[in-house]
Amino acid sequence: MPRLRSITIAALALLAGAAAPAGAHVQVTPTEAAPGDPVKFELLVPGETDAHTTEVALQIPKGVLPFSFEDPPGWKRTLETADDGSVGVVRWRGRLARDGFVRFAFLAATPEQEGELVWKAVQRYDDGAEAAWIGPPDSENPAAVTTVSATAARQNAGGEGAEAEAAAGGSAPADPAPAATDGDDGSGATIGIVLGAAGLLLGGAALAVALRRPRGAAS
Amino acid sequence: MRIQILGATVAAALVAAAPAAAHTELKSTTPSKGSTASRPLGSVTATFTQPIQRGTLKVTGPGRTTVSRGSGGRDPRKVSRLRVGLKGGLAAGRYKVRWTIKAVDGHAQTGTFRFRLR
Repeated sequence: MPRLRSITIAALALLAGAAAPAGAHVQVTPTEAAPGDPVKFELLVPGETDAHTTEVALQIPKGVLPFSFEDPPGWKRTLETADDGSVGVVRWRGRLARDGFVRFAFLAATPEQEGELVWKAVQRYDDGAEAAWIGPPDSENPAAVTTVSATAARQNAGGEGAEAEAAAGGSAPADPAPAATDGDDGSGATIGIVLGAAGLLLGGAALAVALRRPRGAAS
Repeated sequence: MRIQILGATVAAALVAAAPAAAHTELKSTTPSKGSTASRPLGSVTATFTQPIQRGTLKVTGPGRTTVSRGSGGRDPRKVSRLRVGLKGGLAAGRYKVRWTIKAVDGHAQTGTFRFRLR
């Protein structure tokens, strides 16, 4: 009899653990993106009312190339590299309020081909439960999906101009003047140096003032 | 003390002078830049400091003849590498490789490197 009871409790606990995560879904936006475009993606992770989320692992779909991440306060991020050198898994560790949610934003280039990006995510809780958001769209624990389509608006989240698009557009580009890019890089560096020099002057002046003032005040 | 602070200021200013964008740069090539490689040579690769969205490689040899097959592309085994196959029967001499890439942030870049074949 006691044994039966403990088995029942264990079974109930298992059921509860399995049932809990199905509430609020992990989402990824945008749900539509243009091919070959740097896009700002956002992974939205809602908490559960009976446990704290402590880890979120996102599998990056093949062909997606993340290159910049926003780190929410209190969360530590690690990247796991795939065989081809791209980011395979992004793992965030932290602690979410039981009724809180967290958003992980990152910039990533979408694949050149149209198709569906399936964002498989695993959410872990401090009570040991785990929700694997890897199922089809109509399942209990669906993976978020982004459709890559040429009709979707381009974000150009990398901030590069349209001329960059034109220059890299063709598969067999004409031989452009090598000076063009070199000159462009050069002027960027020149601006940096000028700004740096201005900063140096300002810094030096501020330092001179700062060093003189306390001495005058002390003596 | 004053020198130390000044040094720190100079260092800070130098850091500020670095280009703002995290630019993708050419990291290594095969054959390596400026080197002399032995024939036969089947392909040329260029590896960058970050993954790239796409790119091309064009190799020209003695007499400015194009010796690459097609325009090349990203290596399926490494997202930061471009690869292009070469035609057979290459002559000894100087070769020039022109690369174009579209970095993950959308930035288009081009460059060249040279090598010799013996």
